Amino acid sequence: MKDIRKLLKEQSSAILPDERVRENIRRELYPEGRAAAPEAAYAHGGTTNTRKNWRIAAFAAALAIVLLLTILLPLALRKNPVPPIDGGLFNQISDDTSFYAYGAASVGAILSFEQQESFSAAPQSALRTLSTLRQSRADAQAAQTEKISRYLSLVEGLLSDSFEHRETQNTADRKEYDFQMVVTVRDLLGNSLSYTMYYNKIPLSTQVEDGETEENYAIRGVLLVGDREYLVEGNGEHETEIEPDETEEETEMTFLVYHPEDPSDYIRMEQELSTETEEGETEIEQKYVYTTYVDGREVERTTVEYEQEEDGELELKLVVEADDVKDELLFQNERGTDTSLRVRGKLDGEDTAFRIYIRQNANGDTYYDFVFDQTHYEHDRFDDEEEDD
Amino acid sequence: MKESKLERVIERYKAGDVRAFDTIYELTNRSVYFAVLYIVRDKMSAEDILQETYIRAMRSIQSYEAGTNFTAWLARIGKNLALNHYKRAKREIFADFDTDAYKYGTAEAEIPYLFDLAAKILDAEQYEILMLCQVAGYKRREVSEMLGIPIGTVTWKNNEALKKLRTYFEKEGRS
Repeated sequence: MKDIRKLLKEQSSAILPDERVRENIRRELYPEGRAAAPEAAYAHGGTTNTRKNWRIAAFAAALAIVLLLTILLPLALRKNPVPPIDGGLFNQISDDTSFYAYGAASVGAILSFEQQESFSAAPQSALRTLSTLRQSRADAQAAQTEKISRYLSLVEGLLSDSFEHRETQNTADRKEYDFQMVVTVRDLLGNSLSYTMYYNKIPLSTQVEDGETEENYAIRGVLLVGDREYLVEGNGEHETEIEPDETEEETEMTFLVYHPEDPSDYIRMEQELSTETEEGETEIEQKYVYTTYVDGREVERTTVEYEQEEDGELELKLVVEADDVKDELLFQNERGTDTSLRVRGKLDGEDTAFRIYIRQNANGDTYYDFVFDQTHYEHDRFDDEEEDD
Repeated sequence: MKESKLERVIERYKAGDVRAFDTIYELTNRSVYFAVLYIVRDKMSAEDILQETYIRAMRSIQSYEAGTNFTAWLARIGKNLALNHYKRAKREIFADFDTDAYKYGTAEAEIPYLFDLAAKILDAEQYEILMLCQVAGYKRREVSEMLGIPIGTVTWKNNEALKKLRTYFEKEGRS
């Protein structure tokens, strides 16, 4: 039964209606382009059609890379003797609070790109970086590998114990909000980056299981990134269906971050978590979808899908859809070769394949090692060429 | 999906807020699409009919009576259009439309074998429930609200459809 379900799901993109259908309907019904902002953006009011200066679309793909590597690298490489990476955010995002905290951390990290000088040279799209890396490897290997290493280093900052969140009853800072959460991540240079979120909770439900009480709630508030303040909304839905031979638990969480000057520009982060137990076997599927809206219209959708089978095999699929271009990458760890991550897929319509390793040099420094097809690249992990010299 | 949420958005649209269209489309399009696809068995045709369905429905939305299941109302419009399309195509193309419908689309619109098989061996309700639960990603409760049938029926028909599809699929030696 699972195989059929899996096949249906895997092939769903080939049968589901194209997004262009919606656009055609819009054009037919509203030739003057009046149907702009969807409900979520509209709820915040504000003016529309002002020109934006944040390059929101460009950040979503980078965010996805951060996310997928944050999740997958520690899981796939955790048996690697250097460095010892444990956990992984998938295990840490276990309730509403941690989901909202991760939303603040991951979106906050990406929004930092446009605000911090140190990130100004970073590529706007990690996927494009990968694509460029593959295409012009002969003459630009070092520079391009450095770019991707920046992402990996940033990812590294989000791993394991470097992702912390602390919620407190709000004090004097922002009286209109009841709660304050400080989320701390570490950047590529080892410095701590903190994002503060002020919010009110809207209770949704309370579940008591095995003596433990789990509270589900929505949030409305603001996220501070640098000197800017972004409106945020978080919502969650949890459902359990129990049958004699099958149990399904589903969770859908959303986290929206709005542009401070125009709420019709926003990023919507969605987590879908499904745990299915059938005939004694458990299958866990997690999906993160980052959708970027500009003027209320979807301009980019990045889907990160994660699956762990009973036998421990890990698969993560990344799909980025923008400007009628669809890039797909499948990340896998292979049984028996836990020290590498195999990556293959399509970028700009062309096949690509490479591996990512974490290795340690004679000085004890760790570095990422990329193996692209037959060409071999290495790059320092912490941008510390000066020290090496 | 909460039907009450959909009803609220429809009221907004009826009151002149055309920005509500996106939400209406988001909450309903897949149910309509699969109802249509089951009849025409061709992705491109189904997309054209889906488009026409919404254009007609949104232009005459004032005739929709609140609380009478908007998704089902849309699906009825879609099915009528699909049946007309089917009859017209059958007249125009002298071929076994039931068997070869997917061949009349372009290569990119060709329906994968498993979906084609599902459309052939399942009845309309089983097919729609299977597609909504397993392909469109709706929860059974949501499908129950959309189709206006009890959740137990959705669960049962979903499982029946899966079993039937697996049996045929294995028989074909493709699993």
